[in-house]
Amino acid sequence: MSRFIRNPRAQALQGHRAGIVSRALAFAADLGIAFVLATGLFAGVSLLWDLFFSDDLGVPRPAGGVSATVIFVILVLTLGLGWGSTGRSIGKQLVGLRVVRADAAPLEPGQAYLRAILCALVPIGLLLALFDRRNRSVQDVLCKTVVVYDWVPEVAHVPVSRPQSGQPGA
Amino acid sequence: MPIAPVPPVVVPPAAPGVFDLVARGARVGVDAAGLLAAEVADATVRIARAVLPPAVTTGPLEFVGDAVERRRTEARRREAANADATADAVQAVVRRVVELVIDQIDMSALVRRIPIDEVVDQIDIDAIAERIDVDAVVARVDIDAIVARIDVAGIVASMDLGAIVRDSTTGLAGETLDGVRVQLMGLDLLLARLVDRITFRRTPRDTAVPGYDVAGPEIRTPRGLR
Repeated sequence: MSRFIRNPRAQALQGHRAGIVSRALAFAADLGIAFVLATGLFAGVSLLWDLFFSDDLGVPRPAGGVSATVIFVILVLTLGLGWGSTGRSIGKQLVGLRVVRADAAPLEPGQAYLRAILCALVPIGLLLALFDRRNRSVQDVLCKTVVVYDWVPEVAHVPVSRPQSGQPGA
Repeated sequence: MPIAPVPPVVVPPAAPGVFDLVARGARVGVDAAGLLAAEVADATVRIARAVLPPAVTTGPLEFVGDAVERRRTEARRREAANADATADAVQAVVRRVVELVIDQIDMSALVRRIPIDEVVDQIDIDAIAERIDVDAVVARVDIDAIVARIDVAGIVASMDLGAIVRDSTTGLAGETLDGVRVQLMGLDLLLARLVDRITFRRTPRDTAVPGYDVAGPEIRTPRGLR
């Protein structure tokens, strides 16, 4: 039993190329998650450092370049991991989007990380989706990828399989 | 041409009918008359014995008495036999008559004529219920035995607990999320339409992805695991 999408128009658009608003929000969510993760990482490392090598505990204020680099790396890692496995990063899963190849096959890891780097470096490339006839961003054109609406993940389609035990009492 | 063996025809003894009843009834009557005659003769012999002098009466009267006695014994025996046969005949005839009568009766019409409502009104269910000792009835039910007969494991096995848990946990979150997603989808379409209008694009956007299966597998299998 799979999850049921009430809106018939939305149901019909499942598997179609997504528009710019959804994709921008998904990227924003991914960026926010990367920011939170980076902050947590800084705080944790700083706390451990202070515990062993310093007398007082303080909130770190890393240089802008360091912070941006860490956020960039975390963003690329999380995006690449998500897109290279199920095609969904956390932000895309939230909005109900999925990245696949133009032939509808899952992304290869190299393709996924290249797309992640391009997205993290030039997020403004998404603006092309507003004008492209096929809703492609610059990254999509370069990596030959497609972003589709797919609200229901595979796990919600597949029934949980249980080992078939013999009839009790038989 | 072989001749098939003919099975022996068994004629069931016919049940006694009305004719038998009349005949046997008549026989009972004849026997009764014979008995009566014998009783009369016996009484006559006894009176003769008392009245006439013994020397005269002994020989002939004893002969007559023996004859009467024989006659009476025979009549009694036949009376008993005939009475039994007559009783059988009476029973059979009565049974036949009752069957015929029942066949003639239109049961449904009869039932229709019964004022069910009035009958039901007369029954005091509460009074009947009051007389039932529920506690005693319950006490006689062996709940443990009933529970032991229920196949709990089978019931649990037949339920897709995973699906129930999944539906109940993802249901609410999914509904809320879908509400937001629908809004975003609407904005997507609105913006795309706006841009298309501004850029004088005549053909609608091509958003279809041939070969994409919404319900298909999503997890990419790494090369080493293929």
